[in-house]
Amino acid sequence: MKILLVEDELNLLKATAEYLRKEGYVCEEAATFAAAEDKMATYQYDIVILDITLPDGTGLDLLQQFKKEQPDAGVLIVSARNSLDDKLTGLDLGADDYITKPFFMAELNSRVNAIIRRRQFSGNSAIVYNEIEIIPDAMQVKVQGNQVELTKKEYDLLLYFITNKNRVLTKEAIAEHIWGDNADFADNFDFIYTHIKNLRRKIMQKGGTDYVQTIYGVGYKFTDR
Amino acid sequence: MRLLQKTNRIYTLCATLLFLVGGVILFIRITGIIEEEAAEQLLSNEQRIALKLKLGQPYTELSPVIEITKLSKRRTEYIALKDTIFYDVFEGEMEKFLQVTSIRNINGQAYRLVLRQMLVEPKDYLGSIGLSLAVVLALLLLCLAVMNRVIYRKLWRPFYQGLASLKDFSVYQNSPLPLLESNIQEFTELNTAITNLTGKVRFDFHALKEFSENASHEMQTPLAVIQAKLDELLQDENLSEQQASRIQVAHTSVNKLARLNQTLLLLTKIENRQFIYTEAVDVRLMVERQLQDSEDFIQGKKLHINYTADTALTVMANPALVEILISNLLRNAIKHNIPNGDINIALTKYNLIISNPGKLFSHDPAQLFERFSKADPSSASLGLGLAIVKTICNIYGWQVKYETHQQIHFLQVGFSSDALL
Repeated sequence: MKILLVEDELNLLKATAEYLRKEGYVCEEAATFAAAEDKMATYQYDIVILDITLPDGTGLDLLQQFKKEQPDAGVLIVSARNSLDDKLTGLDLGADDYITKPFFMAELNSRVNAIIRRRQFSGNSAIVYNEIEIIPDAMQVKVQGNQVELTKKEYDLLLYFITNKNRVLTKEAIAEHIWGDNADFADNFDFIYTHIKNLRRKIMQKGGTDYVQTIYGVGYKFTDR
Repeated sequence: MRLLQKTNRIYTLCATLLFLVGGVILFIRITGIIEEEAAEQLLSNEQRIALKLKLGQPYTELSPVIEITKLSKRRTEYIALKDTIFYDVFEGEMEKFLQVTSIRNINGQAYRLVLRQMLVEPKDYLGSIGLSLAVVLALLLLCLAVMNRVIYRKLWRPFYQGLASLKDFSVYQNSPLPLLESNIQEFTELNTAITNLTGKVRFDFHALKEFSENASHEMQTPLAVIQAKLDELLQDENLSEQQASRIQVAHTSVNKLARLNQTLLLLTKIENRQFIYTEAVDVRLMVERQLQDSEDFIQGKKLHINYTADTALTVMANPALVEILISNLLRNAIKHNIPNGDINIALTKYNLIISNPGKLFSHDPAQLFERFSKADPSSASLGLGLAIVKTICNIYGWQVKYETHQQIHFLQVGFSSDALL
């Protein structure tokens, strides 16, 4: 899976690229409009993560150009502006998703994964983690072949965990993933605890292993290690 | 008092005073002239009679107007003029007369001549003078009022127009204040002053806004870097519990800062009226959707929702803003509620009323809508929720009210009728 990362802030570019490589992607970096333009013209990418505000041009122009050259590739727009207009324009121009700075790395990963699922496999392929199998198209979860009835939020949570397996996920990141803008509702994170508790119980009832580790004071980690 | 009224009032007062003085002078002069003329006439008549007597011509007596008496002895000649009151038989009342009394020695015979003339009574012409003056005064004032009005309409138009546009002035507007050109120097100067002043205000405000907006934007990227780095640190498996929890605290703070920044940016954007797109928004549907989205939080606090919607309520507005408005109100009612409390949501023809029990707000309720005013200073909330509600209501001209009765907080949004469909 090859990703082009376009971001003018070098620190963020390095941190994000490093993160994506750890997640197993081939990641190329471009810090300017010109550099991104060159790379887009030269190589094929599966996904472009595109910052809209670049010093020498707007990412929206880049998006338009890229969509003409490589219509099958996925595009995730990143913006410092939480602007509805940018979002709508971006999505109109063929971007798959939109994420606002600052974002949690796990959230970025989760979005990239969703795009890959939609693009590459047309949402048909199952995600398998040991005995757990997720069929995204049908929003179904099976544990050792037995179907598990999960609520929408429990399903989201499980997908998020598996996408970001072996990583410490903070409660804030989880809350933001599940509730989006409503996340700051949560004065405390008991709500997350309730959902995780139910998810663990349902998976274990069907004979699954409890992969959710509680990292005290921080959050959770989904791992079989 | 309007300028026109004020000048009219001054005009009326001055004109009335002048006319009064004029009337008094006129009255005194007329009275004088009448008496002078009467005296002249009496004196010349006396001389005519004296001449007749001298020539031995016959004379007629006509009491009380002409009385001629022969005196027995010669007397010293004299002539005297005086006023007298006399009973007039024909008029049947006492009348004022001017009287000339003279002693004449004519052809050796002494005569006393008494001539009288009835005078016009002052009260007879006083009324006429008063009436004429009053009519003229009234006409004059009428003319003045009409003229003033016309002059006002014409001359002061640039002033009133300028005043009207100044009243509508908003620092948010993008174009300079529309002012009417005038060839009157004072108004031209006034317009220049207003244009300069409002231009400066707009410019300064714009610069300030741009600065804070840019500052907020610029902050997003470093915040993202910090968040990414902290997240990376947390992944280290060799971290002690204490280290992890310290990183987590930093992580939480950065997260809050990021949310704060985003919310401030949102507020700025609403204030700048950057949400131009409007469509018909079904408020009822929006409330129901928000209730669904907040289910976790409502259940978490074991709150009871009493929701009544009498009618469908549709407003013309930006859907994202209506969503933010409702979600903030609901969020507020959940956050500041007591465990097992109620949330009453009533949707009427024009209003959305959300009420909930909760701790009393210790500050002035008017401050509730101010930025960063929090019921509980130690709470994790940003204190911007109701400021956003207020800002959204402001741009659409909706009314938002806060009341509290017996520890129950009521927040009411009144959608103006022209926003309704």
